[in-house]
Amino acid sequence: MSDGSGNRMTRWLKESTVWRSLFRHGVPRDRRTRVMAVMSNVFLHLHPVAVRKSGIRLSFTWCMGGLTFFLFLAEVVSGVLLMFYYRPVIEYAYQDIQDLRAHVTLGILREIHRWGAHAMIISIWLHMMRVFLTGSYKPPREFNWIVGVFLLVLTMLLSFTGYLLPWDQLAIWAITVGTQMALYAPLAGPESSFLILGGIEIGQGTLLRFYVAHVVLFPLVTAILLIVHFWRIRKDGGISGPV
Amino acid sequence: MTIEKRPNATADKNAPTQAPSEAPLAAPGAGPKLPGPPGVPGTERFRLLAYVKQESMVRVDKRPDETVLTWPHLLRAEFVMLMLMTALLVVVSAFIRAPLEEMANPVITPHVAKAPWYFLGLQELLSYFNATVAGVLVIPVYLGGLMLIPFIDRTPYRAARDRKLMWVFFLCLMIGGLIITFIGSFFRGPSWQWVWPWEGLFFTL
Ligand code: HEM
Repeated sequence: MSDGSGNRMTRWLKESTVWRSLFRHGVPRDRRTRVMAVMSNVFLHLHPVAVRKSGIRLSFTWCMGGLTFFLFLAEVVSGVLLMFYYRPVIEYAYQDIQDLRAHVTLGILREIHRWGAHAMIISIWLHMMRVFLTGSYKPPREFNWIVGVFLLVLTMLLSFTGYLLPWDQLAIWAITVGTQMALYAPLAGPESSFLILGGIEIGQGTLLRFYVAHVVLFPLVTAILLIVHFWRIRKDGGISGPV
Repeated sequence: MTIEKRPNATADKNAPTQAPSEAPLAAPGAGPKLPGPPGVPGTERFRLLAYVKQESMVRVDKRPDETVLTWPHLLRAEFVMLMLMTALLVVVSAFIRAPLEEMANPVITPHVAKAPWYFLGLQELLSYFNATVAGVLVIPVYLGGLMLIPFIDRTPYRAARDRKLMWVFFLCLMIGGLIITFIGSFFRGPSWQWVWPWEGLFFTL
């Protein structure tokens, strides 16, 4: 591994322009290369190069923000895979869901997606609890708290719109009850009912609406808000210090 | 840290850390020396670079925040959590089937119709009040209240003992939410009648 040793072939490879354009720094073994590794990679650069020791203690964050994010990613991956098998048409939707179990190799995609979604609601709630309990909504983090509340609403909406898609009795009646509750909200009227359901009652229009909202609209908005959320954490000086 | 003044630029007579005046700063190699044999190479020299203003000395009270490098410390923790989560998700999914009932039929109303579990607290609450009142009050007040927390609690203190009122308020909100969600999930049956869990479970994830 060390630069001096190795045969001429590996040395030639490691000194080639291609290699150097891929790996712009050495193996992250010392302080300098470790800092470089985090700084020069767009994904790792979500993090600062160094963090407070208190911040990575399990007892401080409970890892819940990070877990919520991982669950979101797991939902994206399993969700995209599900999209290969599922058609949002009332004649097919239910059958497609059944086939997922019977005919798709390792047919647990739907389970992963569903249990992941439930877990995400629990983890986001715990995350909010820890942010509150550590007083981390205090200046300068007020704005990020509000972004967080929007993320909470979006997570619920994602879960709610997904609930309809299997198109079984459980789905349509839960959504019927849920939308009726939403319609109690102020300023809601027959128009907003039509807007949500895409028709007078739950039917093909609703399925398509919920589907598009579930796979495009809400994930996109959530992703954008997550960028804001993470950016704000950095701009507010990283996560808050010990209480 | 505030870098307030450069020494010797505009000489500040009050600055306590001025370099001793007998040391000719301009002459290279002739700054104030550490006690030690004169002329020995390696003896450190000191030079005033910045005058740190009083307010930043407050930090002295606090324990210094130790920092560690993201690579490997934070990344290792994240990796472990990611692996644990993935493993747990796969194992749970392999053993517990996602529910799937009969195909949807808008004509057949099931005898229990419940919202998804995270809305059951709300459904429970709506059953106490006149629907419009509850609808007008509950959702906006809950969400609005959450968003306003940082602006209601303006004190700079973060420890629990310094913001007892806020804690009580928030915990009541959260625990209250948990309790009614629990009731809506496990204690409500057909037409939202009270049932004990041992009389029948009307709960699907
Ligand atoms: C999809 C949902 C969310 C994701 C993925 C997410 C992710 C994260 C992550 C990774 C952190 C870094 C610290 C930690 O892990 O605790 C964080 C911090 C934070 N989050 Fe979230 N979050 C979400 C929702 C929320 C919600 C619902 C709130 C509050 C209502 C919130 C408020 C905050 C605040 C104020 C911080 C800064 C905390 C500090 O400085 O200590 N977030 N979030």
